[in-house]
Amino acid sequence: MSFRIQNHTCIGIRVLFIVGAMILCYLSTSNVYHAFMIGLFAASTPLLTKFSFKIAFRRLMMPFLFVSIAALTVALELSFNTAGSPFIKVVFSKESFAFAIQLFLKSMSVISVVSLGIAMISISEMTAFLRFFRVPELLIELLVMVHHSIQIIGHKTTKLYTAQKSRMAYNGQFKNGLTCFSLLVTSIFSSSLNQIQQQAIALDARCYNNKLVWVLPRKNIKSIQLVWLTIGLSIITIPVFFI
Amino acid sequence: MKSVIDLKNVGYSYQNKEEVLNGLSISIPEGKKIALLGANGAGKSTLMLLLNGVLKPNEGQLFYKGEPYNYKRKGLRALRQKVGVLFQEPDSQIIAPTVYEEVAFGLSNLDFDKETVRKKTDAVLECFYLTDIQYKNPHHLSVGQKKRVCFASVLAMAPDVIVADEPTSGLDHPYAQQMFKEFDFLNAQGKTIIISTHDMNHAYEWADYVIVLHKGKVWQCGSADEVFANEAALKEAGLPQPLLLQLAKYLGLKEMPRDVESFKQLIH
Repeated sequence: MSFRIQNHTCIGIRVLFIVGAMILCYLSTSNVYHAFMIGLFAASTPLLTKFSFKIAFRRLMMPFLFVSIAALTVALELSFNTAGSPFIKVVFSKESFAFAIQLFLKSMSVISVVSLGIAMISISEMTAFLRFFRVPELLIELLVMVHHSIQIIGHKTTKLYTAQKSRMAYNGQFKNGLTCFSLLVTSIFSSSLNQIQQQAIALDARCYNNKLVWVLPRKNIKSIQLVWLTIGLSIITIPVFFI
Repeated sequence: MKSVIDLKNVGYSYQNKEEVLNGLSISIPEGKKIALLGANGAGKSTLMLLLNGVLKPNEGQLFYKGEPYNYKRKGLRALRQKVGVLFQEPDSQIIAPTVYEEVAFGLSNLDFDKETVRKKTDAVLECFYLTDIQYKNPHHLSVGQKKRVCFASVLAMAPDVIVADEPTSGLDHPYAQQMFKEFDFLNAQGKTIIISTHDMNHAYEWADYVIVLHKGKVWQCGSADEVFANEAALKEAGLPQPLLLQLAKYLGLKEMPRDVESFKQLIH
């Protein structure tokens, strides 16, 4: 059995699921629950989206690095000894360690939820959802353009980096690496700018009227999908009361 | 011959003051398959953007079915609905996150209600065999598929004139053939097709009418037979004669073959 629903309802269900999961992660103080959420959402990303395990893992690596540094900063305490030596002592207290672990797990659990959310909701769906909530058009347009520019820059960077590598760039010498990197940055800037200009021309050619209107296909929701949604909600909610 | 677009003394220069088109006057015949030829920098791409109203000429005027181009917002919308442009680089055209939304993009900018847009989009997707990949991200497709998506997106707006900038560049032979078949199909429906190309052989075989640009001016124009027969003019514009013509000349054939099959018949 399947029934037809409005697009923003469909997007709304997903957004509410993600926001709900984020709130649960934020409110929970249990490390086990946070670890459970990290595992659950990291594993769900390749299953629910078209990303492979490798890409899903890579997507979490960058925030993992930042959160690890932040947690380490919290865990380590510096004490200054003005009277004798050593002058600076790095202290590793039990309380600060526990707090750092909690901070790390909580942050990573929220990041895994957000990561799945970003992978599940496309920019056009996000636009439809924001329009439904009467968010000013200028902000929506800005969001879409920033998103698109990031995509273009990412795409160009990959291409230019490959082109550099194929011509013996980054050969291990520091000076060479630095020169190549500065050239890469300059080229990315000019070529991305050029492509963004081209994009503007292409938009004009298709009657772009200073408003990005997306028409999404009608969605059919099957009963089984609602069952899965209920199961998903139960999986993330029930442990809060037990862990 | 009835013309669909007329250009009268059109001149265009970019911001760097370099003159790309200079006193260009030409009538584009309606319902024909037109090949726009010229060496790099001859002004082909600029001309194509002028036809769609993306660029406004510095000098001269353009006319669509006798009416001068109206560069006000309303006029441009009406014009762009009638004259669709397919860009050379599909990546610079793709804006939407899925194939479906990309095809629907042009339509949704027109004054159709959402249900009409969906109906038209579904029809175009089916026509272009894109239904299976409608939920895919167009950026993750092959060049051939990307070009098809862009083409479908332009055609969804049902323009009367289709302007394609090197539509087969980067495409393998079967995809290129398919693209030309689609152009033929559209032309049979009465649409005017203008393509810019460097493939002289294909242009000779396919086009009804040929325009050669050189140094921002119309160097030659006329039927494919007339234009390609003038070897000296082509050479001056930096273009070679089509291979079939060169062979026919070398073999001393009286008739000039337009395709390989007619060439085979002539030599037997």
